Amino acid sequence: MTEHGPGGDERGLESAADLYENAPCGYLSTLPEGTIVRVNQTFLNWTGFRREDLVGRRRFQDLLSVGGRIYHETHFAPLLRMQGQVREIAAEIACPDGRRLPVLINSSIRFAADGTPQSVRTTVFDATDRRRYEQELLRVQNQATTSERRVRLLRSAAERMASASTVAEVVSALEAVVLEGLPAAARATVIGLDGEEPPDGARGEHPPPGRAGAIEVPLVVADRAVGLLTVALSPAGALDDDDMDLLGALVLQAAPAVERARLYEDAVEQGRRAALSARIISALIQVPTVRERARLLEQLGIPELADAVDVVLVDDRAPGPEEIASLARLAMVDGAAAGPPRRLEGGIDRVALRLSVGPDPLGAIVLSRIVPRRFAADELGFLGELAERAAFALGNARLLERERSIAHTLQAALLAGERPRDPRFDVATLYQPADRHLDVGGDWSDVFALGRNRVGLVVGDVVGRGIDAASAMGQLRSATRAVAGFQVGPARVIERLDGFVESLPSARMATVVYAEIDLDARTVTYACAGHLPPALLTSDGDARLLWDGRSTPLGLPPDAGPRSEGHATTARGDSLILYTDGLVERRGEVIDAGLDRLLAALIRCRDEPPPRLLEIVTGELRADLPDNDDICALCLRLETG
Amino acid sequence: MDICRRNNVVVTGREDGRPIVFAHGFGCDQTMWRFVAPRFADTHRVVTFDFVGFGGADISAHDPDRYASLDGYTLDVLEILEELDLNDAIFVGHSVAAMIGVLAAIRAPDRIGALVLVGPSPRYIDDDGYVGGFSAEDIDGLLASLESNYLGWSGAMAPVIMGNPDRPELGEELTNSFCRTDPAIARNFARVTFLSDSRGDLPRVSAPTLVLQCSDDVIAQDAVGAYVHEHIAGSTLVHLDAVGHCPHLSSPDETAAAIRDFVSALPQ
Repeated sequence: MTEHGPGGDERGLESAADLYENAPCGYLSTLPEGTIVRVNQTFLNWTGFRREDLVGRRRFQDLLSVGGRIYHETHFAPLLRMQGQVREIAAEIACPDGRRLPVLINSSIRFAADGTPQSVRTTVFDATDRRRYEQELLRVQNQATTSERRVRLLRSAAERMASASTVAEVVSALEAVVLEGLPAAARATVIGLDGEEPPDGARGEHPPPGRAGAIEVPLVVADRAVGLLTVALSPAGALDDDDMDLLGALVLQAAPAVERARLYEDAVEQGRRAALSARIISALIQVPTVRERARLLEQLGIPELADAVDVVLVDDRAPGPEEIASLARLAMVDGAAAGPPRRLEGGIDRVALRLSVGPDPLGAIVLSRIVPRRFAADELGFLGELAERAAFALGNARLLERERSIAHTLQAALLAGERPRDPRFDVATLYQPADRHLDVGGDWSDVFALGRNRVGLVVGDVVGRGIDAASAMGQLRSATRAVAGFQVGPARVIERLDGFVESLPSARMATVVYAEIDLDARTVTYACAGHLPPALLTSDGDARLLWDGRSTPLGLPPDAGPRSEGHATTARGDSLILYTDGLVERRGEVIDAGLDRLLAALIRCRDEPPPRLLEIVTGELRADLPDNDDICALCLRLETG
Repeated sequence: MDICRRNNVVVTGREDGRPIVFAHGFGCDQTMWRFVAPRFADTHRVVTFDFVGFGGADISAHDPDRYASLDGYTLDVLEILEELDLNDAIFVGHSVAAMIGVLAAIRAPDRIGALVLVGPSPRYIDDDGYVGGFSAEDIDGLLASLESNYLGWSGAMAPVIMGNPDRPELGEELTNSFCRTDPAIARNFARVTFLSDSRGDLPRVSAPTLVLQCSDDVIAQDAVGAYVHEHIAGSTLVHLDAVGHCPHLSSPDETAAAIRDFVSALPQ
């Protein structure tokens, strides 16, 4: 150094030593494994280390922060060894006074002639400002990335949720978006809640702070939790503030979407229920009796209403297992005071609904579901309405049954007149009500003596059914006996009945076949007012229809002339058969086919006595008819003796 | 899936030699072994590879779930052994790969016949009565270091190295190793590595084991190497003069010799 002072000579040229010591960067020389052998003043000034504490005592990597030391061992040193040099590695020097000095480090290896590393030269630049700038850049970049990712994710979440129409779709959209948006999330699951209080007092927009393992975030709409999102974190995962904000925003979007989808589903569900209810009720009224309707209700209720359905009627002799019977009794007593009686035991959820029209209970319907399928609160209302409608259908059937029972009693009384007993003939009548009708029909038959040698036979059919028709039939039957006096004859009897029905409108359009048999001459005189022809079964095994004496139904006398009548001759052992159309008519078939079938059947059982003959023929002809009609038939056989 | 392509598996050496597999640790790729592995080519079938996410491995095969713990990396090893149908192999693992080797040897004792653990640590963070050498805050510091250096790696570093016309292989190497390392994957591997705890697995190792302990290794200190040696029954502990955490780079002669001594003493 000269009198010009440290740092240079008069020409401004610097000495090498000064340049080294006071260069604008730190200089260090180390052995290959890091031990510091030389360090310049700049480095000491920046860091506050004393030269004697470093040289020969410390290795360069020991001056770094712990994180930087690991980085040095795992990246810097290997790279330096493999490449011979490393440049611009960011690190922090841990200064003796506790400061961290951000630096950029360049190192290069000085190799010996044989290629083995001899020493390492390292320059260190103060990177405080640059680090601050970099960190700012990083922060901004992270923010930009985060916010771009957020915006993209939120937009895609909004789209997916808007196109989701069911709660399940909203839920799966939310689950997918959460997994997509939070790399730390291993699993996301949402369970639907039904307007319950948010759990753990967590309400409002902000999810609870993150914790390891899993976090739970309620989906809240107007202080009601409509769902609960659980995010399970992957083993090394954690959520930062940005993640929590994102989660909060997603949940804010999802909650109203869940609510909307639930309302939509409710509307769909209500439509489905209305259709189900209509289907069940319209099926019920297709069958006639209370008991049949009850059994059908049990069948139709599965599986939509419940896994098992029991309808217990008040007059049921076998009300099923004890628990069902007791629930049903409760329902019939309690009504709907505090909701229908309900029990949950043995893994079965049971609810009993009263079936009643007005104050009188008809019975109860007990619905059973196997847990986990259970009755929801909003379903009970629907089931109650359905029970009301079903009760109405059952009540109607009960009213009809009562009416039918009255009408049948009446009809039986009307048809139960004395039959004449005479050794010269054998007579039988048969009445068989239709299977499908609850109410009585207007068919009737009658046999009566007309003096000593004649017998009158009649079979008729009043239009319509029920008590009206039965009573008209009764009056017409009495009228026939009254007007069929001695020597009147079939045509005149029909004409008198024409007069009678003028005062009995419900008997108009009735059809009648009326025949008189002369027991001595064995001749038959007959008239058919709109009725099917009588059949004659001869003792030698022939059968034919008597087609004469035909005219219009009662109350519609022919325009010109009297009612006509026909005549036939018979022999001993011959049988005359009168019948109503229920015996021969079949839907979708011409009447001739039925008549042929009748004649064939008569021939086959010609040897049977009249009561048995009627039974067999009726049985054969109606055997396979599901929609059969009432049958009334009469058979008179002239005795052979 | 092509396992060899996925893990950039390189097989050299004697085809009929006893297989020796070299696994790189956290930070770099299989080139870390380039001063040591070739020395075994005359006598062994030499296998090197990259873990998924590093070096020349197929980065698209990186599944965050699979590699969320050491198990995923262990699976890499097991699949490679299976694919190459290696039996009784000598597995040489550096740093975290040493523990991956321990886990693999427990699961496939027939495939791995001997273990060489270079700078192993079963747990990096101190625990009650256990000195791993680091606190949880230290690991955060490492992650911050990684973060701040990716700016340098991706932007400034590569062109500088590329500009070395006299040693073009360096540029190539850098690109293959560091530049291909996705920051998120590196960060994930750092977490998995430094938060792992495999202490409970050590006693389950039955293969003959060599523990190579470096001098002044801040990452795996002497006490940690001693711990590993104590907890693997019958293991051999050898102290190397090599300083730092990468003896295979800083002292390849010494490292290779130690491995060779151990291997020659193995029962055939």
